[in-house]
Amino acid sequence: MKRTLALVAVLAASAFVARANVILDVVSTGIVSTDPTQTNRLSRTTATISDWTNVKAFPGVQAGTFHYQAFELALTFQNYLQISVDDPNTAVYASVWLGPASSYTGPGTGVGFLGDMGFSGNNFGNPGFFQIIAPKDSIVTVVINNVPGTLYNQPFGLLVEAWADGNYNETPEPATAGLAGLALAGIGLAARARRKRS
Amino acid sequence: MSIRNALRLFALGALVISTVLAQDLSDTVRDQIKQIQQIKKNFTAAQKKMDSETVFGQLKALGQLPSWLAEITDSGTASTARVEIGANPSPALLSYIASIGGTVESASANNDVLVAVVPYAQLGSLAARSDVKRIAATGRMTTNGIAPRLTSLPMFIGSVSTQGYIAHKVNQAISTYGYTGAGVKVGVMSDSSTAARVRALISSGDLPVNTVVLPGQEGPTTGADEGTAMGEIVYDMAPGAQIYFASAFNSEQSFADNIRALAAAGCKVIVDDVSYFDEGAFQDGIVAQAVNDVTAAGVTYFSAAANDGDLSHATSGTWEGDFVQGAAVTTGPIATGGETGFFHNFGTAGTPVLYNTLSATNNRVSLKWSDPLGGSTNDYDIFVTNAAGTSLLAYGASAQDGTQDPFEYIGSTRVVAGTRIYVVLYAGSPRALHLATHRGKLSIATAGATYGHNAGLNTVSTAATAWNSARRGTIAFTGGTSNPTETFSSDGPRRIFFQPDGTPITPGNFLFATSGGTLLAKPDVTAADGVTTRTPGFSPFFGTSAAAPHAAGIAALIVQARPDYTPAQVKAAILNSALPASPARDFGVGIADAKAAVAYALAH
Repeated sequence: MKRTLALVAVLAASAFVARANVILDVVSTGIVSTDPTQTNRLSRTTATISDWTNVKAFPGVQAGTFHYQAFELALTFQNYLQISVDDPNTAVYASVWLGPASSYTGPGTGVGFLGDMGFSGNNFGNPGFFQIIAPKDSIVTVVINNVPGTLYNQPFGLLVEAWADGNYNETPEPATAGLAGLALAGIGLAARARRKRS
Repeated sequence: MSIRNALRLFALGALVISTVLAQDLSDTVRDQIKQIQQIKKNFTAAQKKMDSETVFGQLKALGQLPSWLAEITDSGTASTARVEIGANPSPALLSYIASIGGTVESASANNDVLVAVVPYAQLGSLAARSDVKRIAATGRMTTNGIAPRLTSLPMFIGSVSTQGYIAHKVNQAISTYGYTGAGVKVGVMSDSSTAARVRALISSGDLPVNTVVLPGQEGPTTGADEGTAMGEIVYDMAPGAQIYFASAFNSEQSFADNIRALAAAGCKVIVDDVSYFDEGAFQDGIVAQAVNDVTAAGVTYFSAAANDGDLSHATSGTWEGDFVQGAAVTTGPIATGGETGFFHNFGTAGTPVLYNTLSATNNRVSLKWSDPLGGSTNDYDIFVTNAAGTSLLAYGASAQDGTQDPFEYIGSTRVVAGTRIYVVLYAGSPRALHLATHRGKLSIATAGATYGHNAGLNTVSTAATAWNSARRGTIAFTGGTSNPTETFSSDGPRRIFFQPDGTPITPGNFLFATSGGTLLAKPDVTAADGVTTRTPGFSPFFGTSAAAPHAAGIAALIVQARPDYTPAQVKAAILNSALPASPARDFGVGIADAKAAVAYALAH
């Protein structure tokens, strides 16, 4: 439960001005052994990332038990999400699922799968990223699991940005304040979900 | 001890060390090198017109090579060679090529070059014709994109923009000044841009409806459609521009022809991402000369700096410097062959190192030196051995006796990490050398990776930084230390020793140590890569191939804002307004800023 404190989740204060599209900004000291576990994880499909032009099919699973951290986000009109994952040690895997964090138990058969990065680690030292299009007015959960399941304390960064389309158009007003509230609520929900599991 | 005696001792020590290191090369390898040099000594006049791959390929086809040498010859198992023939494409020559079983793919009277597929066994007779000046293998080129391959075709469901649109402040430039590149034609050159993909991207709104692919110039069907991905980026950056495309991948002469064709079609900005390995490092070749022609006619030209690595990130696969005489190749069994020549010393006089080691490789090695193109009088060769120096794996041993290019090339899967590269001055004088491994990595490396038209005087040479290099998401670049260049981005600078026509810039001075020639500050500027495009296989789209079209798109905004500008003024607007970043050999002046560039153009 206390691991939540190690997770420095910050909604950028500047969100009210130029960076309204950042809805989650996490710097984590990594997955720990007390984080909740899931059965199986997504198969890494090398560099086949999800993006806004690519509705990626569920890639299947790799057997095992893995720990994870879940970050729940409530969306409104901004349903084009870009998820950047800074994974310098090739230690974690990111995916996004439709539904609240409390309903996530693992990849299962792929129900609710919205997209994933396709690989662990960074590109040429730069954060990897992927994009998904979520249903409007939905709740989605970003899941970070460890690979392999016994690899702990590997720091990662997670940045989620949201837009109303695939062209990075500016956020329409009056989005900023509402968005900030949604993101804060999302972080709170994530923490609550994690507490319940631990 | 007197100074004289000290010097004698030093010289003796150096000789001993040099000899010992020279012996690192086994007697077997020295004997193999001797055999190659003996064959080279007996080259006919016709064979001296041919590069190493074609001349040894011909000898192999004729059964005139010992088995061990035939096995490591670059021609492999092929019976025909796709070659570039330096000759006027006269009817008589075309007829002759057909008569020996050859097929001409293209011909350019403009550059006196043909590309043809010819049986190896017939290459000697072709080279013997008085109207044929040279024959060289083709296919020595690459694009500079790094694209993960999709395992299945995606389903298109929405239009996307490059993250560079935000990173380079194009959104701000357009909203502030209103210029979108409207009325500006931008030419894109890469491997291919297929009709089906262009149609799909027009349909999805990722290319403009008036996109033009020059007739017959969509590129080889084996291409990856990298040109369409580049076109997408240009269109995102300059949504009012019209996109033209022509392939740069058919041959070098076709590349040069298409540069001129795009300019003739009205393109005021042209961008490419292709590198031919035999382009001059120290003098403009035919592609760079085409760039010179179109820039003189009002075209601003951009090119990828290439992805050959850089010294700053310890990823360099390049060694540049002057030839330093090491041990004589006559040491050991070669002595009995009466051979001449010396190994290049990559080390110092006190600590000679007669070879460079590949620590990572892309199966390619090339050597260029400071002789004029088509007029090399100094003859260098390259040899690759295994890690122990006991087995010769590959070689480049063309003749250079006054009419050939200063170029040797090895393309072989035997050239892998751990193998040694030896440079030999077979005959002639010390020259500035450019040893490149084309995305390999060397144990003894330098800066100066970018070369050819990618780093030409009139090219805006573009390095790459990831759109998210600051790790803060889709925000504007800030420069400084926040946005480092990609670890693979080719560094500069580029020293050249000759004018495009082969005239020495500093007659009699062809060495780095004596500051011969002139130094070009390359690359010029840095732009985004790692971005999203809709072209399958290019999401994300990494490489200086992705960076160059970002810079070209910014140029389109400037050209619309200032149609009176010359290419030099367009370039100055981008460079003088760039976000400062260093070192210059990696970034150029810094990172392009669209809003600042348009503002600069409007104010100057």
